[in-house]
Amino acid sequence: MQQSESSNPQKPMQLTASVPIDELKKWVRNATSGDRECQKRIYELLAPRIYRVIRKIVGVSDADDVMQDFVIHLFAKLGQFRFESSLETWAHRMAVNQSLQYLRKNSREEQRALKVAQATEMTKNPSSQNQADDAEVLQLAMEQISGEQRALLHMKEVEGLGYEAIASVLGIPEGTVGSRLNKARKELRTSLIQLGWEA
Amino acid sequence: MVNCDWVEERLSAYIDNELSSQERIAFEAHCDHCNSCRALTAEYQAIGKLMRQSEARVDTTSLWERLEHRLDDNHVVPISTKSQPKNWVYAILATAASVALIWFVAKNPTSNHGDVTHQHAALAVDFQEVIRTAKSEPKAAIAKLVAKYQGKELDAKATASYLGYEPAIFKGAPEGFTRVSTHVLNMPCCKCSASICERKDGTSLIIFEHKDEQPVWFGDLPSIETQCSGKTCKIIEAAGQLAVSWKSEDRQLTMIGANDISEVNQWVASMKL
Repeated sequence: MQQSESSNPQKPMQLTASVPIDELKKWVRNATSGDRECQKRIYELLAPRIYRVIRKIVGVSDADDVMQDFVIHLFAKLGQFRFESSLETWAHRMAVNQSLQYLRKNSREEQRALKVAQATEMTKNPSSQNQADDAEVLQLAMEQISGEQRALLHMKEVEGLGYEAIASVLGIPEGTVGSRLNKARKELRTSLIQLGWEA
Repeated sequence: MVNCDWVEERLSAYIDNELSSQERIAFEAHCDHCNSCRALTAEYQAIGKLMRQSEARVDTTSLWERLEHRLDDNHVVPISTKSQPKNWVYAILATAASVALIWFVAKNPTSNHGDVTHQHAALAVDFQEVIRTAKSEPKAAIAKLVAKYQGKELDAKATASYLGYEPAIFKGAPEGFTRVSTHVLNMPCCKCSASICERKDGTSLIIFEHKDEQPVWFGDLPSIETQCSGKTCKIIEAAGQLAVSWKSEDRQLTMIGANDISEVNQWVASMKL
């Protein structure tokens, strides 16, 4: 039996580690004061990864709006960041919370948003019809689980984060990440099978 | 005893390489002889693979261009939680000449525009005197509100009974302040509490709380919106003091008579529901 042959190697949040800490502090300080160039640098550093997790939680059709609100919020609160954790973890946590809060406020919209997402996010370049079908089924199955479960699975399966990093982003005890992932995977599998998916 | 339940409980930890080596060996030994657990593990791994393959590409470059416009237009100005009032606060607010703090509450959010305008006029409350006297003569300021809005002084239990919730101020004023009194007021918009809190130097401020989903308006006075201790606050400056309104869960809090931004931050952070 082979272990995790398809999983990404687990990793902490470390994109911001590619920037020297003094340089990053300067960016944060200047961005807090409204320096557009430093704001852009921080955006470029964080945006792709954070956009993906926001999109996974709220759906494609609402992702741009939530992302924009997040960035505005991020720059408003950046002055409170104390470098006690990585900037990326801190920002991820804010983005996940903001996305989950958005879902709670727009619960009636969620279904509609995900339906639109289902229609628009189908892979642009499927290598086969089967792959496109599987992606569509996955999208539908993801609708059946909660926003937090989508965030959990995305961070683990797509971002390849370790349990410690996931716990830090979600603000939950590290010891509960495994059981929460187990529950999320179990529910996603059930939904996939109900939709006719076969491994 | 390693059985199917034991394995299923650790399935995610196994896939995610979070098991100890001893547990991993036990897990794999069980799966070598258990078709269903082996199949389930393979299915979970296939789901992960499917998620990675289905992840659409991301282009956040065009989003930045739209964001720049919002950043240009946005009135939310970041502030440091430790800083004294910055010049920009007074630069923006110094033009506030007359004060008419309007505590507007739209009872019926579906009202048409004409009704809303009418309610504005009907519910406008001139807080000019409250703001002017909140710091030095808070009791006189409250007395006028009490007379106008059938107010009465109550203790914590009676206030909670009257309002249907206990105002956050009863959980304790921030360090350096003492709650002197709490009155309930039957405003046109809603019932609210008004508490006088005294500083060590003998000056005071007044904190108002009401629960409804109703915003506090500052009329046409120049105001700023900014983040204070994680909450979006609307702030006006008048008579050399700050009047601040912010929302905390289902509660709207308004403070009149703050000395500076540091004090606002302290209060916003301290008022836990």
